[in-house]
Amino acid sequence: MNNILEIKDLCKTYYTKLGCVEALRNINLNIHDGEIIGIIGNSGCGKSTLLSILAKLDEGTSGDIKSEKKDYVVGYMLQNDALFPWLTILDNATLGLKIKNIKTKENIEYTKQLLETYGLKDFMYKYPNSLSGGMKQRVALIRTLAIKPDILLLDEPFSKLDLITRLDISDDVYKMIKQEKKTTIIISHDIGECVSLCDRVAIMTKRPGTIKKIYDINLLNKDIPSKVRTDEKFYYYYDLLWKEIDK
Amino acid sequence: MNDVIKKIKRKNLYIKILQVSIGLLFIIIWELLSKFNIINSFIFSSPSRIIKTILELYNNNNLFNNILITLYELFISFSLGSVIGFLIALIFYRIPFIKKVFDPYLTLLNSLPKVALGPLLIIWIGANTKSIIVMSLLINLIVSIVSFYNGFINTDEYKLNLLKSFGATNNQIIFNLIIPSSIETIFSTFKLNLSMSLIGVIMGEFLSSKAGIGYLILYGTQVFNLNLVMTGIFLLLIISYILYLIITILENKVINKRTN
Repeated sequence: MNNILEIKDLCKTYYTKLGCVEALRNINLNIHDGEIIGIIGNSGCGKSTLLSILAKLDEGTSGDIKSEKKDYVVGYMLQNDALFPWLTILDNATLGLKIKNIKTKENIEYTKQLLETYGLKDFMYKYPNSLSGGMKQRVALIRTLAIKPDILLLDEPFSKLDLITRLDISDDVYKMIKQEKKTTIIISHDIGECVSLCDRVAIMTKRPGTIKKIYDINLLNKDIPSKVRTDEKFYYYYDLLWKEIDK
Repeated sequence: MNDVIKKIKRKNLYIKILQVSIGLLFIIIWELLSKFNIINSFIFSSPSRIIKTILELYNNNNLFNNILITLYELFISFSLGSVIGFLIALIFYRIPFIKKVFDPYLTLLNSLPKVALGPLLIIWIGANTKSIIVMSLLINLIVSIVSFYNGFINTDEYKLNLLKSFGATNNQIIFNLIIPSSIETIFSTFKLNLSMSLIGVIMGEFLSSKAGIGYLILYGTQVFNLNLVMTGIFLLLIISYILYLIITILENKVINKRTN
C-alpha cells in the first residue's frame, strides 16, 4: 500500500521557564493512502501535539515528515466545530477557500454540492445558531473537505457531543470520509470510536509520547460504525486496545 | 407558547412602568419637598427651577451653544480615543514584544489620576479647547487600549487554530477573526470610552473654558446659582443617556444583522 505520509523519528520538546518538557519521542508512523487511522492514548500523551505538527501549526524539534507531495494540503477538524457565528453556513463552509485565495466559482459549487449531499441545502444561507450540534459538526467537516485536502486530521471531533449525537455523527462523518475517499487521521481517547471508525489504530505511550503498537482493525460490515458496536469482534478489539493502553 | 410570550411581554412592561415610576416619584417628591420648604430650594434647587433655568438659557441663546461646545469636545476626544486605542491595541496584539515593553508604562499611566496633569496641560497647550480634548483623551485612551486588547486576546483558540491550519496570514486572521469576533468588546469599549470622555471633557472645562456644560456648572458654583449647577448636571445626564442609547441601538443593529 502507498504511503501518503511517512513520519520518521519525530520528536518534540517544549522549553519553558521551569525546564524542558519532552512531549514526543521518536514517533515512527506511516500513513497509508485512503485509510482511516486512529491515534489513541491517555490524556497528555502528546496526541494533539502530534496532530498540530502534522497540521503545520507547530514544528517538531527533530525528525522528519515525508510526503509524496511537497506541499500536502491538510484539512484540520477540531474538537470544537469553530463555526463563525457571524457568517452564513455557506460562508463558513467556504472559509478555507477564502483564506487560501481559491474561492473560485468551481470550488464554491463543489462546496454547495457537499452541503446539498449531506442534508444542509436548506441551511446554506442561515447562520450557525439555527443548526443542531450534529449539523454544526457536519458543516465543520464540509469546511475541511471544501479545500480538497490530501489528508484529513480529526482532533477528537466528537468529544463535545452527547453520546447519542456522537454515534449519529460518527456514522455521517465516516460515510462522508469514505465517499470522498480521504486519508484520515483521527485523534481520540475513546477506544470504541477508534475501533468502529478506523482501519488501523496506533497506541501511544504516556509522555513522552511514542508509538507503542499499531493494530489492524478487521471488522465486517463496517459501513455504519454505530452498528459494528454490537459485533463480537468489536469487543475483541476493544479489549485488546484497552489492555495495551493500560499496560 | 403564546402564553409564555405574553407573560414575558407583560413582565417587561411592568419593569418599564416601574423604571419610569421611580424617576417620576423622585422628581415629584423633590418638587414637593422644595415647594413646602422642607428642603432649602436655594441649595437643592427643584425640577421646576431646573426647567425654568433651561428656558432662561434657551431665551438667552446660551443653551444649545454650551451643549454643542461640550458635544464637539466629546465627539473629538471620543473618536480620537476610540481610533487610537483600537490601533494601539491591534499593534499590541500583533506584536506581543511591543506590548511587553510598554506594559509597565500602561500600568503607570492607568494608575495616575489624570486630572493632576490639568494645570500642566494649560501651560503647555493653553487654556483652550485643545487642552480640554487632550485632558479627555488622557482619561479615555489607556482604558480603551486595555479594553480593546483584552477583547482581542480572548479570541477563541479553536477558531484561531482553524485559520492557522488554512495557512492564514496575520492580516487575514485580524480581519476575518479578531475584529469580527471582538465586536461585542468593541461596542462595550465605546460605551466605557463615552463615559470616560465625558468625565475628561467636564474636567477639562472645569480647568480651562469659557463655554460648555462644565463651564455652566463651574460658573453656577462661583456665583452660587445652584439652579444652574443642577441644570448642568441634568443636561449631562440627558446627553450621556442619549449617546449611550445611540451606541446600544447601533450595537444591536450590527449584532442582529450579523446573526440574522
